[in-house]
Amino acid sequence: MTPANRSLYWIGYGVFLELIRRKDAYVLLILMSLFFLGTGVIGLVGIENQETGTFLLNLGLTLAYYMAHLLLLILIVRQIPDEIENRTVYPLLAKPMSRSQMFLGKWIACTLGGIVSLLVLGFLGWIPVPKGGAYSWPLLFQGLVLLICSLAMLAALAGALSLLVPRAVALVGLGLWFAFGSQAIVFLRARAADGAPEFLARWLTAYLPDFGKLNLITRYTDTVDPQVTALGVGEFGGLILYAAIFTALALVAGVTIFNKRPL
Amino acid sequence: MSGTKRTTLLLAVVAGAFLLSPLLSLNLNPDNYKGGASRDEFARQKRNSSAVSQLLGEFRTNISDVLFIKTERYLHGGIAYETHMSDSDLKGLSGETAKLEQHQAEVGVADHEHHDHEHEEEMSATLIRPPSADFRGFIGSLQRAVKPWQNPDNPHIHTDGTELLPWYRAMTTMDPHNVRAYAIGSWWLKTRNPEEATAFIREGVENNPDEFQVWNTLGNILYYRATRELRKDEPDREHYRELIREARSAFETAAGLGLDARPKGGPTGENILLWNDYTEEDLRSALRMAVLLEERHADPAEAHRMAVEYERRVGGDGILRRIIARTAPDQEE
Repeated sequence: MTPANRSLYWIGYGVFLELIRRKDAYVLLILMSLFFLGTGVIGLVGIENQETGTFLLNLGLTLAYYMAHLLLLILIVRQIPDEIENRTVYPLLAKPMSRSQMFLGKWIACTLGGIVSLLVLGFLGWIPVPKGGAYSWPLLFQGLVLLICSLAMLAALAGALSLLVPRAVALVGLGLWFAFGSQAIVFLRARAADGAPEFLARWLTAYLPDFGKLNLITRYTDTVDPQVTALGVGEFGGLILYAAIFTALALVAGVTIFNKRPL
Repeated sequence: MSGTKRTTLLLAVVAGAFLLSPLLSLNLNPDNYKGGASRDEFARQKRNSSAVSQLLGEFRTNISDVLFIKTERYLHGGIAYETHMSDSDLKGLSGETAKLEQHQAEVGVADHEHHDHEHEEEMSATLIRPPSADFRGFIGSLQRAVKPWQNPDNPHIHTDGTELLPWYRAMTTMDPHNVRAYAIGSWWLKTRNPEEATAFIREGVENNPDEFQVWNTLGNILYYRATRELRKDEPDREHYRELIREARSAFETAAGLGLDARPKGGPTGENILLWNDYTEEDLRSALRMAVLLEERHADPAEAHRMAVEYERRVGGDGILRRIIARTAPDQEE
């Protein structure tokens, strides 16, 4: 292992330790465990109909989706600002590591932390609901891949934004955008339709990151209706590319800001 | 390649990809698909009537549905009546908007003249029981005293609906596929702020492009705005024509989608679960408006062709038949 890779490893290890030491992670885990137990009990008693089972599955996966993203957001917005504030950034950069490597290392580590949280929480939301083969496995796989892309995109955006604005602003701003961004985009498009040319409004709002596009949970639980199927290869690949473009842009912006920022 | 050149190239690739990204993202709509339990009104009713749902909250687990109940309470001055959400008439919007028009007429905010009919008061029971049916004695009296309540035999109190509007915003934020919330919310907005009503229903169209009822509502609101424009002292004719053109297009889209969604035979037999008389009424309204606007504002020959086609597919529509007779080529001659 080269010294730079070793440094990246230690950054990742530090982020992982921070994740498992945080109270937030345990609070979310306890909440999700309560859902797991509650749904498990309901499952033992017997779920009356497929529609209620579908509702519980959707609820569990949606909770896991929001919790994993929230945890990731809380984790990443503190990373570099805290290192700068506590002056621990100096010994880190004194190792053979550039600022770019440090930023990317933090992003990779936080994204991996988010993926682990998503898998643990998602498992707790998915496993207790009796499924009886009613839901699409390919769509579950596609949904999982896109959720991982969504975590990577959120981590990159939050990492870059945390270097520009105070942590709390980055946390609340991106948190709100994550939760309501899709609706805000539609809101803007609908209001522009009466004035500016519709195509222009659609084009400009397409520059805003839309996390809703990467959330296939409802589509997955809707596959109980055979009309609803998995995404085509083109659309699935397009969504991965969509997330990759925003992630790459945010990473480039983050690295540039961090490189130019006086410590 | 040097490090600087590589970095510049990387930056150029990322910037280029970002600038062109709308080409990609505008064609990616994984949320637009037909069918699905989350959008099926009857799956929703089954889900909401289950014991699990009742345990999880106020008989309606879907947050958007809980908000719908809230609007009903606000409409009745805070008094909780047994709701009608499971009534099949809510599958169609015309049933619901007809009730709301009665409410508006009562509180004097409607600008319609057609409310001369007697308001048939709903005889819904209140959730808090009246003294004659309440076994709880003092506890029941206390609840009736501290919570909004009135004897269900008395005429319902109806508010003017202004305070309902934020609930429709919340409902559609929680569930962008709640077509009913978009349609009824924009209907409430229509008389107060028609431009905002249009923007609101356009959101509904953006989120539910395959639902004929949002297109039908968009057409209705645009047509309402056009007629208002014409009633002004100095109407903007160009704006009027533009609104009519958009309304015509919306009704035509609604007609196409509605005809595709309509089960063979319409609201009969088992179909009634998916397509009842009110849904049929919504569709026929869209068909008639599409044809009428085409006849009056575009091409009567095309209107004739549309009317013949629509009548062939739905059958037994007196209005369409009259239009067919009126616009027949020999009539024009």
